[in-house]
Amino acid sequence: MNLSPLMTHAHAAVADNPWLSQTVRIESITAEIPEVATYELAFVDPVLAARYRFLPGQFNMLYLPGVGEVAISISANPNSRERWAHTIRVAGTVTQSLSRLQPGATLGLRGPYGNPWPLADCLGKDVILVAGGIGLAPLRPVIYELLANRAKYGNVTLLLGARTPEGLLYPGEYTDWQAGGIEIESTVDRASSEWTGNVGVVTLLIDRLPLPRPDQTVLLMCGPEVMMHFTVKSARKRGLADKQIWLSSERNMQCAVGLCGHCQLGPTFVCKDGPVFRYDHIAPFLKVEGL
Amino acid sequence: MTANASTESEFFFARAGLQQLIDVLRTRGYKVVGPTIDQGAIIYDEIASVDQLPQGWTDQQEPGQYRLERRNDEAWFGYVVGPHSWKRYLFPPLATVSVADKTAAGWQMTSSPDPSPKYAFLGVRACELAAIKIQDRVFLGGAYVDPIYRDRREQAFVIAVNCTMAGTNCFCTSMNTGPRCRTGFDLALTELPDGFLIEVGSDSGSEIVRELQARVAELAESQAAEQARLQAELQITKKLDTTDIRNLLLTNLEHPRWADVATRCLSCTNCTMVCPTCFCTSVSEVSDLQGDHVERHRQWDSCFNLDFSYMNGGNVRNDIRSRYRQWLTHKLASWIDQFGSSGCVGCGRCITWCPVAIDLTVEVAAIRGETP
Amino acid sequence: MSSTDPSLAEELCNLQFASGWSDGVVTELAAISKYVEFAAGTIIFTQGAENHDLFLLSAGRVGLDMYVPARGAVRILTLSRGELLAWSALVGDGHMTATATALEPVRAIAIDGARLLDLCDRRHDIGYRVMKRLAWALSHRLVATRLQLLDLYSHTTPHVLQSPVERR
Repeated sequence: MNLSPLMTHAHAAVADNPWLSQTVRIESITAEIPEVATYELAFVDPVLAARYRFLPGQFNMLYLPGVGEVAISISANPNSRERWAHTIRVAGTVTQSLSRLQPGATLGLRGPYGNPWPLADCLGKDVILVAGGIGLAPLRPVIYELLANRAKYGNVTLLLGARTPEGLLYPGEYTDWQAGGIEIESTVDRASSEWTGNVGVVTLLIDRLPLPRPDQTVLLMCGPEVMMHFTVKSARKRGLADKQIWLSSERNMQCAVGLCGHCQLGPTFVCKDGPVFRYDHIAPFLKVEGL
Repeated sequence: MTANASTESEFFFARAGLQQLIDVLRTRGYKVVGPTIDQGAIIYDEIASVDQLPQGWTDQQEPGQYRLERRNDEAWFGYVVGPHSWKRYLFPPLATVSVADKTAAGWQMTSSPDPSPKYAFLGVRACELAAIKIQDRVFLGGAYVDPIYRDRREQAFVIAVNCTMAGTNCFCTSMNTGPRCRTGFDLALTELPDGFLIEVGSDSGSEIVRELQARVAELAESQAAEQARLQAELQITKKLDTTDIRNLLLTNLEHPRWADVATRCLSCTNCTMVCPTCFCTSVSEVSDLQGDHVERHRQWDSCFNLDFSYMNGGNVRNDIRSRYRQWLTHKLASWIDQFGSSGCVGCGRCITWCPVAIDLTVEVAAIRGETP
Repeated sequence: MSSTDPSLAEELCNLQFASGWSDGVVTELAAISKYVEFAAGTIIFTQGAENHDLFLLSAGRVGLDMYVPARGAVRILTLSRGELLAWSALVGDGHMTATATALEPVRAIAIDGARLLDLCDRRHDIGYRVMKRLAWALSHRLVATRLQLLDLYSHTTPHVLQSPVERR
């Protein structure tokens, strides 16, 4: 046979079927904000459960046989064992079907996939997390990691944007996060006059942020692309370079392993080259309409 | 699997030897796939006899045109390439990637039980060898390997046939992929009026040759074969200037030419279906009536389909301009970032099978600022 | 006000409003400005009412509400240190477009609108700088308003924003 030499190499690397899901059981379902719930999933096979690890920022493919698959970021504590939280918004057929399941139901899971947040680059630095709406879900593992090793990082600020006060995700955890040494500022697009928090876009929070050492600051963001675009503009004005900014992006991920072509953004496959990108690496392609 | 087999000596067998080659391969359990005529085109299908080959036929190609015509000889391989490519067999248009069954303990997922056929490909052109090499990188070269492709690819026996003529839409010389078959085959044939010159590319190739009534080629035969191959090279007129093509395309994402080509392109997906390297797929769920047995079917998809870029209730590439741009920039530019080479081998299929005769070499020249 | 508070002139520069201006200009501006304070919950001005001061927030947050019949007060924006309030005093007709409420104890520099306009008319170099600063603040607020208009966090596409299924 005449195969290119890389075949033998690759064959040795992964012999498994990357399309194959493993059975997980829904352990609990927690309603979060309207149409959003957090599902704790556990592998039925104890060997898989013991072996499974993920890094903050990675995602899993959740599979409902007969309905389809969907890419969902992992919102669990990276040090957790046995149960892995996924915060899911009802958006399409798969998430809709998922929302009708009860604890005890089984589904398929494969993962984790994708590149994680650059936590090593954050050591000793001030960290700004910017989350828009459900964009907080893929940042939650980062928050847990920062809290667990709080002394290794400088100032940590979490800036939250949501449509309404009711749309702020994980509100029950903010007190713990603040007690653990994370500053939280939130703002919403619309509110009644009873709301005493901020109203306005999340970028305004960056304009107002004390930034004692912009060159020693890392900004991690996740939210709607337009929000991230303007977040970068505000961050630049405050003295952050594009290479200090990281984002988690979203495209139509189907195979999650770079084989199906759907999630391409310029030269990247968002599934395997992302979903976390350094801004300067992806910026030329993010700004082009319809790419 | 070794690439160190002797390629020093060339062999020769008479025309009758071709059937013998097919027979030997079939005896060894190969499904022999070769060129044959179907619905007015030369396609690749399973064959058992040389009678099924397109003997005496050639293909006349222009942008948007393909016609079979009689040759004035009885050559078996006197054509260029048709709408099929070997990806149809290595990367089947429809495949089952996994199976789910509902059991008392919940859903259980298993790999597809489909067996992988053992193919011998007869008549692989140089551009197609290059295409297979490119798909090797896509499906086998990364951290994740596609098991369906791998299993078929590992077993495949590849018999290349050197082109002795070129089509109007051929531009393999621009892409450095042909027309001469140099690597990536078990055997490579060059068709001569009275027989075939054989080059051996692997141990299993040389094993097969030993079973044929082949002899060491004479100098005159080698020279005649060289002459025939040279003729193909001289006939190639189409060119694609690949100088700095990655940056040319990726820095011209807002070039007005994309809007221009969008007024002609029908977004029909033909170019992606006939392309020997395009690899995009979608997966659909196929379940039994009770919904207890579900198969995941993977089928070829195309970046020209509107919902290919569907995300969160909307499509990212909403217009033909952005979809054509995605295809061309991926094929010729971002492919280099992703897999270390161009995704184009210069076979010209996308030009021939485009119903409105869009020619990517013309589109690139326009973006380069050259008037076609 | 405690003795450690920066002088008006210093604070005008700290808040970026007058940073980079010559001492003379800053002194002229300080002469028509004064510190004002509002307890939490104070309504600083109401929608439709006349107000002749331009405020530059020094501390505390202010909520801007617009009143919609049958829906009540809708909060449009909150402002904090460094931001301008009541720009209608300068470029509008002096009638406020929204109601401003101190959400916390607020301290601000109030600049007399009529005297500032007079200063701008007399000294076009100052007028240019003031208007440039005002234009920057308004454009900033316009972009922010557009982003709110996009309703980015809603997963149902706003009706008016739906694109046609296919365009060539």
